[in-house]
Amino acid sequence: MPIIAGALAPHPPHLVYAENPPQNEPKAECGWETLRWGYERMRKDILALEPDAIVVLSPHWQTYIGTHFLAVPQLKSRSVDPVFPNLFRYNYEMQVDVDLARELESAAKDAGLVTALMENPDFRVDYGTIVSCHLLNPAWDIPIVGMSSCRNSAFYSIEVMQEQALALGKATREVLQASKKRVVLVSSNSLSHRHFVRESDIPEDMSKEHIMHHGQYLWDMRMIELMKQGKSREIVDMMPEFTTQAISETDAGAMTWMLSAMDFPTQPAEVYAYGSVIGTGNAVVSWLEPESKRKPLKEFADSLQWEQLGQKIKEGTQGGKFLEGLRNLVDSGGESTRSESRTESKKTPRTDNLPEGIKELFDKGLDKSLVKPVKAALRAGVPEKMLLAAIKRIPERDHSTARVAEVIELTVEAWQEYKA
Amino acid sequence: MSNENPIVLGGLVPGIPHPLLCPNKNAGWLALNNGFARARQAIIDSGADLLLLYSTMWPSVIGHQIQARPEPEWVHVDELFHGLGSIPYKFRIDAPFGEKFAKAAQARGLQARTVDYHGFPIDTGSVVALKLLNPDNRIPASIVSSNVYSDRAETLVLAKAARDAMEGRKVAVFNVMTLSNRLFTDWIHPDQDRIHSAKDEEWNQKLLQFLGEGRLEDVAQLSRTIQSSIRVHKVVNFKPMWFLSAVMGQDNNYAGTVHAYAPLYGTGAAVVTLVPGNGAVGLKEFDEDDVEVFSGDREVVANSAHAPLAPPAAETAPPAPAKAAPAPVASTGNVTVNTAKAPDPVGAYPHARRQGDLLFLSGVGPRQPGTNAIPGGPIRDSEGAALDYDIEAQTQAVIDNIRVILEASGSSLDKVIDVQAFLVDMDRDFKGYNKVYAATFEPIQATRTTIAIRALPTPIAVEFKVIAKA
Repeated sequence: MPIIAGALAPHPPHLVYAENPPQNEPKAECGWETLRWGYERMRKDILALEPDAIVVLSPHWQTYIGTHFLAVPQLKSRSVDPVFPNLFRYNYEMQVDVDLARELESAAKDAGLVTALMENPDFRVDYGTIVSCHLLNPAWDIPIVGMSSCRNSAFYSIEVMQEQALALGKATREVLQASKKRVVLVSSNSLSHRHFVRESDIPEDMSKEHIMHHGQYLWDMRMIELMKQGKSREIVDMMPEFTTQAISETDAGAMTWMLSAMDFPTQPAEVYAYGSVIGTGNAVVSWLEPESKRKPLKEFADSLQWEQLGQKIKEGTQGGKFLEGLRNLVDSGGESTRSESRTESKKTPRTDNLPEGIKELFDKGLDKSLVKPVKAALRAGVPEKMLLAAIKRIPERDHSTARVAEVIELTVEAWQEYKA
Repeated sequence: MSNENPIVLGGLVPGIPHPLLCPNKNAGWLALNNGFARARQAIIDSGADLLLLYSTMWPSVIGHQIQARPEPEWVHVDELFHGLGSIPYKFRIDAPFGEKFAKAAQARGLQARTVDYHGFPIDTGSVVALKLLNPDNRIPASIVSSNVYSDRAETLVLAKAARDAMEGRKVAVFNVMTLSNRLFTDWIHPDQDRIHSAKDEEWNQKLLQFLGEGRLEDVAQLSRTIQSSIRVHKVVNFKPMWFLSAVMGQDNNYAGTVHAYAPLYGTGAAVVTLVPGNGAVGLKEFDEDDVEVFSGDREVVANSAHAPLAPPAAETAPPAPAKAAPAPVASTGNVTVNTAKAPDPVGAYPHARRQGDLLFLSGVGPRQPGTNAIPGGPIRDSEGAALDYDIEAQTQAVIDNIRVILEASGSSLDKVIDVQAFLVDMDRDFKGYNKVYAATFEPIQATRTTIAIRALPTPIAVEFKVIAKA
């Protein structure tokens, strides 16, 4: 499943300001903790899925002629929020998945939409993209595809925006269904979006923070309730009215695009947080790959063709007791644990986000060049305990890096055979 | 403050980058580039020592922002027309003026601040205008944002604050704006550029005629009409002409020159200069209050048609909470309404208040907004001596004021449900009052009660209290 998650990831710069990351110049005492802690939980869930790319549509890259896609491999600059420059002056450096950007742009164009590739290396990425991407992945070690917001809602109507965003979502879906990349889609927007027009002397003074208007709050709650019920189509159907009545930032089309690209997910969304920022309503929400699509280990145990799988792995491990060990492992059930969020660069292979048992092997001297195949195996869905057992059963005398790599590969093959 | 006019030149220029980045690709874009050159010469000829830009392409939310970085430097790329190339710049900004301007705005009740940050994103419009109007930084510049929510009152007060800060200066002030602002929504070849619609073109020609005749305040007073007729509604209202007219003195006495007018990707782009003078078309003709100080909380949501309504009832009821809790009350906009087009209240009350689907108006008399004059004359003089007065004229004025308040509340006279009328002299006035009342209210068929009372707070004979559908 190439779209591994969707995220509603609003971009108030206040959240980055309050977090005090090294990239941001202004410093805060505190602020908007409910939203920030919600973001931390969502970040953990999403990064554990090991995405290959994050595709983000931001309302603050406003294009009046079509949808534009970032298409410069590396972009590095300083983002200063034009509205809240006192809070957000952020030095960013991002990798762009240009191949994926080109595929998405081409598909959108083929679908009859107006498009453009942004290939100017001096371009400064909008602060909406920067804020959402920072809050999802502050290490910036996953390539980005940035998409602009075509302002049909200003030029024509919200209904036209809807149609365009639905078509853009469909084109996105078709590209990603054929892709091997594991992609997270990000709708970077608030829900209700009416700001206060004055700012507190201390911007992070939480005694001054509240929703602008009760009617907006009610609308936000209505939409969140639909998200929790997995009613994506109802959300999209209601989008024009919601956008108008709540003066919502969904006028950018990002949320409609994301839900369309995900083919209107029916699983309940995970709502991590809701809170106001300078009067606007913000929800942090994810749609993760549904549990129903994951094969539970118990089912695996019941249906496993033991001899066939065991033979494969026996060949790889030359161990006589592996099959028994594997049976014990599977019978014990257990979920794969999710890795911790990323905090370091990919330049040196990281092991701190690996499951504990496997990490221990690397701590004890397993060659770090094996980190990549191990991660690939986990991404392929191989249960970590199975992988761990396979590696551990390689006899001492045969414990070369090449041999371990071979065993990992065989384990993946065995797993895929089972799944097929 | 000196009585000498600090403004030596005004004008407007477009901010879309083609006249700067690729003028030779289209004859109109080249004409605009040449128009910029003539405006640049007009600035030199005016002797201006400061160039002030009001940019419609720099939106702000928290009040207004004023650039105050002495030498901002960057390589700018437009977010839409990034394919046209980069624009490196280094500008000379009058930071002390910016500080003075911000303080003057604050003194007049506005939220305003300066921005002095490396890398602050100066908008494409300001970059284009400064590169073409002041390419060698011959004179220092200042740039002020356009608040997305602000309307006429704030914009006028902002302009007057700018004027406060100009004492002793000679200032050229330019709006960065287009006339009609509808861009094409697909890519066009430069040869295909034209004004997006015939209707936009007709309006643009009318505005250019006014500006060419120096009738700046007339254009300012058309701002709301311009917004509804030829502007894509990206902001609450079309405000640059309010700013320009107010900063220049709110009149029609200018020597206007249209240096260039051409389509710019569908929009109507013009380079115009206005030299203050005498003997042009005429003096200002206000159709709305003039404003010196901003004193109100805008509450744009609450007081506008944008007030959010509660969502419709859920088709599927959410799970019941563990403890019985009161159901949330649907908000239908419980808000107050005040309008400058109706007479000022004589106490601490609004003109109207909306509760649910109903509008409750405070008592409305015949006084005229602004002047407090009483049509038909007052019932007594300042010494308390009785005067003859025309009850029919007073009654009609009451009805006119009610109409204004209802319309400002999003309602109208035909939605009136109930009227309570108060007369200070039932015997003398009932007949005349009843006649005028019937002319308007007979087809409406509102319920009515007429009450004789001893006096009203001002020297008037009649007042209505009205309930209407919102």
